[in-house]
Amino acid sequence: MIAVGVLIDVLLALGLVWLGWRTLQHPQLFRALVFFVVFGLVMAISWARLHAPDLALVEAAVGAGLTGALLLNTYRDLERGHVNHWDEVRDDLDSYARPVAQGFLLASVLALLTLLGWSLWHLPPSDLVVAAAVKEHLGVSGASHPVTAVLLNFRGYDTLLEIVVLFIAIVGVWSFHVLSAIDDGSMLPLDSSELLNSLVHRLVPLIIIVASYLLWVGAHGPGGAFQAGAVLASIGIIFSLTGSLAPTTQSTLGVRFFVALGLLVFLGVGLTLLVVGEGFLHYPHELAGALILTIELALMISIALVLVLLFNNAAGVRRR
Amino acid sequence: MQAVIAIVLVSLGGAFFFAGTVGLLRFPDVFTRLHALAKADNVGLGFICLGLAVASGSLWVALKIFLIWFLALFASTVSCFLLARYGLYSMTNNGSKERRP
Repeated sequence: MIAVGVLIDVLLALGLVWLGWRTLQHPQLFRALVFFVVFGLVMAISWARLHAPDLALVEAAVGAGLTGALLLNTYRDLERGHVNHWDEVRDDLDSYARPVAQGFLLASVLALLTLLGWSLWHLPPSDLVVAAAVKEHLGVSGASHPVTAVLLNFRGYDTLLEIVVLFIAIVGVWSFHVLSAIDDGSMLPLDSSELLNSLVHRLVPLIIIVASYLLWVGAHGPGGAFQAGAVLASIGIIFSLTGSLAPTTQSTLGVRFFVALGLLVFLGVGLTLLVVGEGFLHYPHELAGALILTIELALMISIALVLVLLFNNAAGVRRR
Repeated sequence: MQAVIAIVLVSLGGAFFFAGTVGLLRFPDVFTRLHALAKADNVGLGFICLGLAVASGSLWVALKIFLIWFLALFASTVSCFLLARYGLYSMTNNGSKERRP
């Protein structure tokens, strides 16, 4: 059985390298996208094999699912000519930028690999010091799952910065917003399908249950705000694709509030703790569980909304 | 005994997936390909779920596995229908009888 496990791992590792290479090198954009989605799925399986179900969930939901949908949507816009200049950009890339870009990419990858190999080489023989420290302090973190404890308590800064990145991304999209690029959403002759509507109406409640479950279970098992937010965002994407939601060029106050909510709550909790003398994002033991759940709830809402808005390339969405 | 049944069922599912994949690669147009995929994937996934349910040995886990199968059935039915309809739509709109892969 061990041999079978090793065989699967080797196949996954080789498959990942091959898929990554095909994604970057395939001359046809559409096929490169398909390779990217398959890469995400194989990556998710690899995380699961490495006993990291949290990362597997994120990779499957965000890497393969959402990013795949986003890229396919962008591809459709490119094909329809909604986004101009693509040919010029591609020609530019072909003519001179491509060798430079490839050289730069290759140099970066080599540098990164060298750095990683070097640090691996210099790791202490038994690298369980950190793991032991996490395990020891798990009791006071307010979460019973090591990953959640690390992400939201021991290493709260990282998660805070991640939500800042997402916030800046949507503000960036709004700043560069081009009116003509907004899609009217009438893609295929989908609108009149009873069958599709019945699927959507049955899936949406299930998706809400799954997202809530992922958020709740995040405290003591694989799950959390990013996974739940990505799953929740899929509702918005389904509605956008089936034409129930239309992108708008003006965001309402409500949209802006909920986009900022995750960041506001996270920062608010952190600063409040600083003011009362606990230290920034330094949760007191007895409140840690409740605070983490509150932050995760706010994060989930903001993450889901930002992902839907990014998917639509829109300032807001309205019902249609 | 339980493990043997599970292995047989999962292998049977794998065989259906294999046949479906061969169909996807070898059949000439979108409709026959969908036919191969939908049939093979649904039955194949059913056998794999059945095998995993037997292997799990727990009714609760088995129910969860069958929920996954049920959702996959539902989604693949609708997406198959949509793909076929789009195939038909693009065929008739191009004004040619040629079936596009």
